[in-house]
Amino acid sequence: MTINWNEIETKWQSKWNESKDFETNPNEKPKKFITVAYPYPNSPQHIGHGRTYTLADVHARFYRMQGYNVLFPMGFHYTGTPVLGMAKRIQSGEKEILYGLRNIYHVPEETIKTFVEPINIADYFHEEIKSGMIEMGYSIDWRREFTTIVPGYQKFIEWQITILKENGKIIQGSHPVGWCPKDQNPVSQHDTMGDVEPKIDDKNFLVKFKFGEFIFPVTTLRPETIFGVTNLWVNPNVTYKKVSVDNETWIISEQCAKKIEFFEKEVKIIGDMQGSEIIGKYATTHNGAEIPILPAEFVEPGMGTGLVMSVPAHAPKDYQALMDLKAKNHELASKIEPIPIIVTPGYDTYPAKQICEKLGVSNQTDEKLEEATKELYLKEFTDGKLNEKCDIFNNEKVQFGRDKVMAWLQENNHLEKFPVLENAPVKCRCGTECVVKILNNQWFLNYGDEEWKETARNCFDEMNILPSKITTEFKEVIDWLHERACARQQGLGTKLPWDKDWIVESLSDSVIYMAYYTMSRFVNDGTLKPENLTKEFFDYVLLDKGDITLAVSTSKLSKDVIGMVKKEFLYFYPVDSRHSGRDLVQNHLSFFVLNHVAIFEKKLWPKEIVVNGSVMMDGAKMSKSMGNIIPLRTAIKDYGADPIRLAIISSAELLQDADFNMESVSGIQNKLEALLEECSTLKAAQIGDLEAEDKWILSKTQGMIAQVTEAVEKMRLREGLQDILFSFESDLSWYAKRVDAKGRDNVSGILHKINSVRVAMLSPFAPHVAEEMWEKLGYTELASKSAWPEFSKEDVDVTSIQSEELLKSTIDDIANILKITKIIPQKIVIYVNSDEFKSKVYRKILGIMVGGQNNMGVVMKELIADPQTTDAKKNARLYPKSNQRLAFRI
Amino acid sequence: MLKKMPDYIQKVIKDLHSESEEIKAIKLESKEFDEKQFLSAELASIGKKEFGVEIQVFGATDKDIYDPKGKARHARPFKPAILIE
Repeated sequence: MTINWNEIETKWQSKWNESKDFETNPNEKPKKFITVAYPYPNSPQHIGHGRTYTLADVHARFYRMQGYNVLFPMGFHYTGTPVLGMAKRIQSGEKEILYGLRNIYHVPEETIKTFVEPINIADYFHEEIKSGMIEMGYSIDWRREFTTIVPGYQKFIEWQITILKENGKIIQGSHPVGWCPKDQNPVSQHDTMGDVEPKIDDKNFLVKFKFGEFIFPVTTLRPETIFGVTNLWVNPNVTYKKVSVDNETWIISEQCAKKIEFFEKEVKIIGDMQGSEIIGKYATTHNGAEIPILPAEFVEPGMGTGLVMSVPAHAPKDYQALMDLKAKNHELASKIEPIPIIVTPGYDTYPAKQICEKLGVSNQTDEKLEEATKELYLKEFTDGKLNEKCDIFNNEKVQFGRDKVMAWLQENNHLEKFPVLENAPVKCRCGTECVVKILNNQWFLNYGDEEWKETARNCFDEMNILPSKITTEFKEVIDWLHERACARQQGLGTKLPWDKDWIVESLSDSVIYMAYYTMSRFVNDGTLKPENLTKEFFDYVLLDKGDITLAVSTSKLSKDVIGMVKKEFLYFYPVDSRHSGRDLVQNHLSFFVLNHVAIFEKKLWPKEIVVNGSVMMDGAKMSKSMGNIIPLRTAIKDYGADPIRLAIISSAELLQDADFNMESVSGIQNKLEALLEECSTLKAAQIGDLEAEDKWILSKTQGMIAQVTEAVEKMRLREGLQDILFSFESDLSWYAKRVDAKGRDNVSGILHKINSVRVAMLSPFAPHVAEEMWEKLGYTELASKSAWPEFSKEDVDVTSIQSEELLKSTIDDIANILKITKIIPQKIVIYVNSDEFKSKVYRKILGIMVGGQNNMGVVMKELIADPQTTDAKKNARLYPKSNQRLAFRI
Repeated sequence: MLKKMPDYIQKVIKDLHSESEEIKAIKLESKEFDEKQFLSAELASIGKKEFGVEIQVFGATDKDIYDPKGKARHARPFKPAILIE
């Protein structure tokens, strides 16, 4: 049976629409609030975008069938620079973009012309993406739809940002941010090529040494080691720059001069200085000591300042470089001895020496130095103590001493922060390489606040995270997070209420908006007007703060309306499940949790996060430049929504990257067509007395229900789908064989029952064709409204399962013998064990092996230990060891 | 003792090793059932259909057993011995 996919999709979509199944209001049933990160309408939707939404839709449909009142809403994220960036690229006539729009997405030329205005881009792709979502059959309550630039949403964001400021979560200060020098704007994942979040390491410091009238700054991650400095390293082949920095003159590499321009400093290059000129001279440390400057070619001008301080007692690289010079009888070097300043259990006086010798490091280019450095740095940080060389810091543990030394050096103007981009190079969408900029008097979300982090950790500990192995990634993100610029000067969005020059940036106005879904339908139908949405109104509805009379007087809404909105919020909140792609773990999903815990009381904190991998196309990342993008809507037209949904789901488990290929789509189409065909032949009928195979297939059906239900609950959708469509098929064909062999014609009722279960469970995955099948099976209600099949232990006949296994394996064994011996059988005789002792031993072994024990020796030992089976001794003679293998056993 | 029937034990371990955990658990959970009775009732129809001949089922210690090749003693639980002529 060939299916006209688009025809049945339209048919069922209009039925769902007519019966308003997905328009969800509070009722007496338990609820589930399923949300997914809303899309950014700056480009068309391709198959890759469909994955997260499809997974969330299956989740929503599954819960709906389980009897929950499920809210699954959608909005559109207009905020920030991506739309702006797209408009600029179109304005400048960028060929790749225009080619894609014209030839891949077939956007009309007239429409492309309007794209010079950012809002037109957003509006166009908004409608495009929404249509795609409807065509995919997503069970969304569209009454609640909004964009992030409508006045109602802006009121909500103004309130959110005000509350954060009142709670001390927004601070003004100077902090490092990822920055595009061309756009003059901070950048985050939304603004970069390839959607990379710029990661800033702000635990990197610049320590100043004096060199006559000049300053020699070096960078270090370990400021406490300043007490063990023996010399500086300079690359003789580099031309350093004399750079006027505020009131000082620094000697640094050219690359470093470029970086510090963004550190709010007056920077001017005033001359050159050859590395070779400096070598052999002396620099002065913070405490006035004179240390020699030695040559080292490992010093890279692009790293830090291009100069390095040497701590040979504790830095393996410094130790080895010093040893290499000594081996060449370098005069100054030969006078240098390491100065140990940290005592660490497990290490002797010279830890760097010890670890280099332990790992057998041969010279300063040896790759083993990386490992040595990593190991020693960590060990000294966690277990080390500073010694008497460190003056007032004597006896401090390194993990606390580091910050104290840092603060002390900073006070005395020997140290400054030198934040670096950990994952450089990161490119802005405009193509410019991003830098670290220290932004002064900017508005920051204080994600570095330890107390805030701790509350977020509590929330993560109590929430369900799928798959659970992603939990550690969240913990790392929370540890690493620090102050984050939360406003921009460009783009669409909501202005900071207290500083109208700034717009709340896109990863800060998308953190608690799920709460807005609970009231957006009232905004959309005019019950709530933007001017009604006062701070007092939100305080009362969302935080249960203040009293209703204040909310009434400021909002000019009636008590009833306010009560209704509050009731709806409290009914749907908290979020039961938040779906998103893996790339948002490090920002959006973490911010989502941080902001919820900062604003809402504990009972309103999110319950679950589901993270999925991305989508590859025939093994390669889908990208415009690869030309392997398949627009979602084109794919729906060509292959049907359900086959695409199933292909996306079956291509990978949750966290894996899904590899999409068109062959799997046609395989799925065939499978669905066959199942539809089968359903049209089945009629509901009375089920009479059950025969052995009936009991068996009905028991197996129960097993399938249990497995699929568990898989879907854990969002292992590939596994669930596999069980419904494929794994069960072999059981069904065995059943058909049995029934056929007996010449039975009274199984229609049973097959109808079984396939009703399969179709019902298929419905969240392939909702349109499942409705079609459901109708063919004779049901008048919608499949999407039917109850999810429930596992019933009473319907499982365990004996029937093992007896049928026996029958199957016996048939298989006979077939195998015939295949191998090529005998044409005249007669087949079967001998069934009837020896009770053999049975006893068998059950004993079974008992040992359940749970995975396969080791023969262990099994034997346990058998011997059991008095019941040690009787085997006496009986053993009955079973002489036989060299003669069973003639036909294989 | 058990050392004297390693062939049997080894084979049982192998039998069970190839079975799913699920089936093993089901077997352990349910009581033993009469293999002879079940196969006598169910094997005939499917066997005839699959192989085109009659299939006879004996218990390994049945008195009236037809066992010209002495195969019956190799029967194991869930693994009947088979004679094909």
